[in-house]
Amino acid sequence: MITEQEHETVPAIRGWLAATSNVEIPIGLSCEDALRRAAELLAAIAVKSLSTDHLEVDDDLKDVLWAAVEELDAKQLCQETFEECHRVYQFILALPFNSDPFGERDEILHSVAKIGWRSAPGGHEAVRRARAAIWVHWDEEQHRKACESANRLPAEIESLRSLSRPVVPEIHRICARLTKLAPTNPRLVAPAASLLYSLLDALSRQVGQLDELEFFKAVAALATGVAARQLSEWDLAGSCQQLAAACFRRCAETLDLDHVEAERLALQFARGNFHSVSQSAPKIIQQLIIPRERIKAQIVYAWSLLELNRCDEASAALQLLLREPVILDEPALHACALTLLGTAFSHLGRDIDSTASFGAAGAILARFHYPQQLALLTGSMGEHLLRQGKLEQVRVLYSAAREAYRQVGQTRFSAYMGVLLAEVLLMLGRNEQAEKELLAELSTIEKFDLRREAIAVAALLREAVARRQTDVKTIQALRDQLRKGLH
Amino acid sequence: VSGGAGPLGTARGQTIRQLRLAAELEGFYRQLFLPLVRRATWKHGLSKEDARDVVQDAFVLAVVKLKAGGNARAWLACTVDNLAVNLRRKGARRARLEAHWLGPTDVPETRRAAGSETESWGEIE
Repeated sequence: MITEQEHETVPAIRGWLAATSNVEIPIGLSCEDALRRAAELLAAIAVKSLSTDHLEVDDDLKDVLWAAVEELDAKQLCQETFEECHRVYQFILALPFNSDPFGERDEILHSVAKIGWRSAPGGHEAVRRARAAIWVHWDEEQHRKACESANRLPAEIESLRSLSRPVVPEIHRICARLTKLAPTNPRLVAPAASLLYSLLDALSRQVGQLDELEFFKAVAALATGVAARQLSEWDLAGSCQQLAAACFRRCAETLDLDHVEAERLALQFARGNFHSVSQSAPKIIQQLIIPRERIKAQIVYAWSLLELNRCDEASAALQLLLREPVILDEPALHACALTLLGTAFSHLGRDIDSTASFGAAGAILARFHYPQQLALLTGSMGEHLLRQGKLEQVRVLYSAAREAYRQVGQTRFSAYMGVLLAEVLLMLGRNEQAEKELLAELSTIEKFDLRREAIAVAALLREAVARRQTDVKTIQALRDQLRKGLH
Repeated sequence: VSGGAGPLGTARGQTIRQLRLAAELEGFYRQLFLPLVRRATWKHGLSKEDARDVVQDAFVLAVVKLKAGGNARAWLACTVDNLAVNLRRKGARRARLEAHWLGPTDVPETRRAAGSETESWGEIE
């Protein structure tokens, strides 16, 4: 029988329990002392007589900070409490927490922000609504305008630098645009959002009230991460997600961590960890509260099932998802779900359903500009027609999909489409052209270490050579190049 | 000074072992015990003494249930949260019974949790 191994911390816990079984363990500052000192601390913060520069955050001070939260929580909901919370928030944010194994600082900041916004006119709900608007999808007209004016974003962000004190509504507007443009124009958004993050980080305490700066930093980091994932810059995407999560934890609304959670799953999928996504996604989906993020996670889950050839399960998951009314508010996700469902139907031999699903996705994408979704749809339709043996149409669709991916900056996908295209060219007997296509993709395959694609290329080239007597030197050079790519 | 065998070496070895153990316990105290006591105290409104008992109970559970590969801190924080909530619930039940049988003046006071009006206390990873 296999028994689970105990955690590496357990011996230390056992040692601790043995050493403390018969002794009174000191429990730090008493609650009364902590509350008394918290009242003194709040008074000192109010008159700005305390500097954080030489303050050491020890266990006693942590108790005092928690007690300060309790003190603030007991105050009346009014402008004065709001202002006091703002001062306390900034004070704690500036404190040097050298050791914080349980993230107490973030939890304290979160509590102070929440009490603060509760004391503001409109209460916490008004802030929650205003922030959630950043992710609400625009209508057709607004979306079109945002896409058309995307090129102006970097300059607008840069112009914030010249302002002595950037205004919150302006940053809010920029964040909303970055969030919407990250999936449509990742090449532009990745550096722009990263610039905004650095700018906000450098501004320190000069922007907004309470947690506003942390919130905008989180949004900027998340937008950078989404764009970086699209561009296959996975390490950058991962570190941006960490930054975003850290900032969101300090905000009044920790629900926003859902955005990071769904994006983490998407990154895991992009890295090709389909099996692990298929295992972890159901639990994550259950925990997500923000509808948009739950839908996104459901799509990632269904896609991973599709990649694992579990088409029946994928189609069931997608059909269930498409029945949720909230998907109608998310055109990109809606089109993606319909495209994947079309592919699942195609695998299952349900040609009529597949065509209908692709058609519905196309109708959405005709209204909303989402180039990478269009590329996915085009490629998927090509795959579907390949099963029906319509090779010439497949060639056209694969070429279009590859070009679309290339234009968005998704070189990894464009290389993948290139390999599929070469395969079709071989089937069409255009061996020379197939070789050319494969050779053109080699540098990308090497750059991104695309092992699966490299193996396919090797097999396809072998086939091409068998059909057409290519000279030996060219083949040797190719083999060397591929071996390098495969290590 | 020889660190080898003999009475002096053994005594010194023992002292070093004791010092190492003391340092390990000190680290454990600061890195795990105290933060968890603060969590149970301020997030769940327990007295410091009750918080200490809850944390010790969580450690006892950890010896049996904490398995390799998981996040020990997250597991401990979650367990302390659950035990603290249970204790508060029991306390409230007892208070209701005592209020019913002994009258309102004899009801023992429970500490209010910081931010108690808020619905949750953040996420545990």
